[in-house]
Amino acid sequence: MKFSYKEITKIYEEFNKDIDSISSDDLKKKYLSKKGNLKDLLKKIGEQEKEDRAKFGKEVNILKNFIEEKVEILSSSLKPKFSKEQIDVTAPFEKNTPEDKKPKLLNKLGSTHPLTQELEKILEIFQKMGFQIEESRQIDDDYNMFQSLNFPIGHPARDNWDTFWTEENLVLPAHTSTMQNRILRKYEIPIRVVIPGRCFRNEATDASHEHTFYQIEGVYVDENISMSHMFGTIKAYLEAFFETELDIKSQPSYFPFTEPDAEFVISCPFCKKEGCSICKYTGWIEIMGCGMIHPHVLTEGGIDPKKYSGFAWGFGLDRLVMIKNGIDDIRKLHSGELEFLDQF
Amino acid sequence: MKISFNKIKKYLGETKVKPEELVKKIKLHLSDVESFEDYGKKYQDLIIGEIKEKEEHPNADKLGVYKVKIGEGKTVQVVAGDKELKVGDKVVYLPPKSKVPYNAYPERFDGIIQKTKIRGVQSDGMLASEKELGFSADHERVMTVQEDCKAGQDVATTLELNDHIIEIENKTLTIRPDTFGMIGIAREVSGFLDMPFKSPDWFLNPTKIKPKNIKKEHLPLKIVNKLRRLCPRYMAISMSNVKVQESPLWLKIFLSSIDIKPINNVVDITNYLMVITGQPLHAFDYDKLIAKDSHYKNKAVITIRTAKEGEKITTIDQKTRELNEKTVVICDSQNPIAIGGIMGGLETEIDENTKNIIIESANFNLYNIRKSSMSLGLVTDAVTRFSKGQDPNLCEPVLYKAVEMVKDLCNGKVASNIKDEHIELPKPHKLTFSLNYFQMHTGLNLSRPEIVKILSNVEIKEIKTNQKDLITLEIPTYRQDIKIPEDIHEEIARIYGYTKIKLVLPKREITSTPSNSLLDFEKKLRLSLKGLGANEFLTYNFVGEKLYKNYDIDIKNNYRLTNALSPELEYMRSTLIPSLLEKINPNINNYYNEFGIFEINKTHNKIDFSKQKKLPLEKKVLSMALTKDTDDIYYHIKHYMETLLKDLKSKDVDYELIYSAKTEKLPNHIKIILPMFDVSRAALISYTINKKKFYLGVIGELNLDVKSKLKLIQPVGVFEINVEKLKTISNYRVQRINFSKYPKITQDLCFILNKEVPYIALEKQIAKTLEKRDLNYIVKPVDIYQEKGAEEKKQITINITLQHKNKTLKDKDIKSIRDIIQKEVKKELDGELKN
Repeated sequence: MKFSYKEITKIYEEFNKDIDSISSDDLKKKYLSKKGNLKDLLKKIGEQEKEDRAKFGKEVNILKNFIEEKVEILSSSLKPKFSKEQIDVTAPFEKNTPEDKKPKLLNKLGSTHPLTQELEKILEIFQKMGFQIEESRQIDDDYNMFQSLNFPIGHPARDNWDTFWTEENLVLPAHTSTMQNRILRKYEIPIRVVIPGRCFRNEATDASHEHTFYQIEGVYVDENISMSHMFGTIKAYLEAFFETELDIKSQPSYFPFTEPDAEFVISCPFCKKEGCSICKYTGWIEIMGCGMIHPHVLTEGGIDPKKYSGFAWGFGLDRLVMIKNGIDDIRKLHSGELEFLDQF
Repeated sequence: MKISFNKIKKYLGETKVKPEELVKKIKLHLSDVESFEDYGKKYQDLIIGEIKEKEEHPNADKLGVYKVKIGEGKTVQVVAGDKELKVGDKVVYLPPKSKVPYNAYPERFDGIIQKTKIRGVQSDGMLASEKELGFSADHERVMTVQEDCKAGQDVATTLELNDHIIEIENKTLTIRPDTFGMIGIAREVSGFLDMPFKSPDWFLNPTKIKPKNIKKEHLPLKIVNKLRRLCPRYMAISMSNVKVQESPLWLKIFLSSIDIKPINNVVDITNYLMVITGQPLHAFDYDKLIAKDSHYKNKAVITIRTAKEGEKITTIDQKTRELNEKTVVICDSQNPIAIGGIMGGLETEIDENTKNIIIESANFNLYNIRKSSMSLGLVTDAVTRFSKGQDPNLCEPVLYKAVEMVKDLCNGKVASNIKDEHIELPKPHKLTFSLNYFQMHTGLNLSRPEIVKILSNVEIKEIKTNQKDLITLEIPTYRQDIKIPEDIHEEIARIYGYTKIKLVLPKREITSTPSNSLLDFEKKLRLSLKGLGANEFLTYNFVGEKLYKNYDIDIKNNYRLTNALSPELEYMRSTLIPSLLEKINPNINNYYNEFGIFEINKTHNKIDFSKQKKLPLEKKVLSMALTKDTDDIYYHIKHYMETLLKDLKSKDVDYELIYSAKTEKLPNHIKIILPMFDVSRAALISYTINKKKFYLGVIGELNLDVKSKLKLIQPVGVFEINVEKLKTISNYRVQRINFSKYPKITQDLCFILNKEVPYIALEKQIAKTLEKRDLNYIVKPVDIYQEKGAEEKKQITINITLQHKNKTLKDKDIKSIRDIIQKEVKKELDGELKN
């Protein structure tokens, strides 16, 4: 802080010395009481030359606010809350630091999280396939999470999505489909968008369940799009991801926002259907839900279902990462254990 | 939901389908299968025995010693805990080495039968109770077999236990009320086995089994339905002369096999019909109802209304439940006797003394059932079915079938006419769809006759028309889920088989796809920090009030969840710092001494809200925490910040001590986290574009109070910065392309300055001076020294490297540059150049 008047600067400097040595009560007495230093300064405003008066007054007020704030901070706790000595935050190192003690980077390799690693890889595959990428929200509203996706208010189908709600009746998305309506409105046809995001589900955590997880949604809309295209596209992506040819099958499923709906199942990429711990000795792994976008959802997104059709899918990233890395406990991913994360 | 393979098979036509095969097909055509059990397996070694001789046990009052015939010419001696068996009784005999189907005492008995002496008497096997066989809770008596059979026969065949139980996942069937009865499942199965299905006759034509009208009602009954919307149909009948007792063994076995506990014949009949048809039923004790009713004593008056606020009922599970105004209750003329469609009341429960009953077959609104079930926290088999939206037409055949079964199994007599209060009942509706659109949409090239056959197999009939491309169908009333052509597309494709759909990639134009620049930038950040030795973490969005209190963060700015998993996970975080710092101590305790962790994620607070979208803004931040056993941790974390910025080719940023900074106009996100920092050892990070100042974030140490509350084992420095803003200043620095070929001169300059002068002021001053001249230069800090006893001053040594762009610098050039620097530093910073 700089002041143009000696009197003010003097009190400012004096205060800065005092703040380290005397108690907040004494500071109050010395500077802010009726007989305090600042009162004297305030009186002096009137004594200034006319042209100086406003500037002087302004500076006194700045100082007054400054002192009041600092005294307030100091008196708010009995123990000092802040260090006495202020460091030079612009310096590259502490004064009197010998050469060998100067700040250095850690002498080790770092790591990125397995979830973000795989996510980046997946997004790259989709980008090569011609998809754009848009991130999902972490707090959303009922309209996007449910209503625009053909879930009427109060419908029991909502119970399959164990959602968290805020006091404001906002919702933490339990699936990345919460972005579908926005995507349909925002992008021009042909729409090819992939939507990664963190989702939340109100369920107790154990080795295979997490309240926090990642999903990747895909939306494809164009003329004459069929289930054949849906299965073809998903298979192409999965083969690129697992870097191997896969057998697929699809099973029925139910989502209010797709019709027909399906569960996409792949042959286990690790044992080639021989049976292993990853596929629980079935040779098959259920990998994602998908379906043809429901005409109501298209209409709600401003797209004429008589002219266009499309498909959408959503799959969990966490499980994919676990499968790929042989991680047997989903809680490890958010555990923050260096011993675990350092390896990736 | 568990279903019995044998039962399903009974409803099908001639088929050789095996249980394992059926499970596979159900998975492919209907829903996932959660479990599959060879139910008969555990009864495989059991044999029918016949009591031939009976003796008292010499050493025990409660035990009987029996000679049991277990085949032609084979007799064994068995000690049993039941003295009441008679010679000639048929029993279930468990030979030595066989396993008890249901072990009642797993903690003290491994379940394997051994030859043994019981209180000194030889016992070669065991005689089973119903509990040990899993048919009921009865463990007092040895079960006797009434069925016509011979000693030595195998039990599984005799009692028809060779069944397979398939547990189907419900989720897929959320809008398929018809599949919550085994008839509905059988219809589906028939469809994908490509066999025509025919529902049982009584199911299709209930009038054929309708009880005949009687002239005088022995047990008069009146229904008053005040809620036609929430209870679209209420049917009931009273029956007299009912003999309540245990159900016949076949019924007990059937219910046990699908995990429904047998209670008594009346209740078992209602449960049996529920799992067969999907229609829940309830039975009331007529006399208890009359006795309870304060108004009518000569007839039963059943009233359907919503509960009064605070009204209570004790349900058959002996819990007293408080109801709310939206819950449907079944009442006598005054007070509740059941929660409609959810659970019956204890006061009118059927027990062994019940003689007269009322059977209810009703329909309830699915939305209201769900809401009531949620507010009561009560999910029953009836709730599961009603919340799928049952067909009101179903009430009729199921009630009539129940009457028939109560007549057969409980000796009951019809004592009133059928009462039936309902609104207009659903009728089969028409649906027309296009063959072409079906083929395009599914990718299946099925012909019209093929499609018609697939659908008629599951009792969806074609209505013949002359339209070429269009097919018109009659949709049964229990298939309210089929509303639009796409719904029927799914039915056809699913029954025919998704696996038969050919895989094709959609055609698209060859265009390049724009990338998501923010995500690309995040990737760059991650890789950069990884390269600098830091580890990326992902932590939860959820935080607790207690945690934030430790950081002096006012929790009222955070979104609070109404259904949080625990108080520690109750709020959405407004900063990542506390979440990261929680991970510091555990890792130090796990022998990691020095490490840096970071996370890139979204934060939310109530102040940053988009009024237009009516949603919170989602601010993405990068947070890092660095721990090291050193007192100058601020400079270490700053070193990370600076190195990261350098790697990003970022514009320079300014560090401003919080103590002397103006904090009123800071972005909300920074304001929120500011209180946790030590104002003397932390800084605001900002940058300036076109003279406008933007705040990037905060860096430094936590205040002493927070530190002591967190009990951090060793010093920690943190920063949290706005990722989008960081992106705007990255890739800012332009690379130099043309290098000078003239020699570089390097020199250390030491200045004595007042202690208040920030280091950066000196560095900038020197740079500014050099900038004006045609020079390439590098300015580097070497040392900052403060002499003991002379704390008012400090000495800063700076190393400068100079190079002229088009000549060799001479001594006199250097001297003149030095002089200018000296002069400027003196003038601007009141600093002296030391010789």
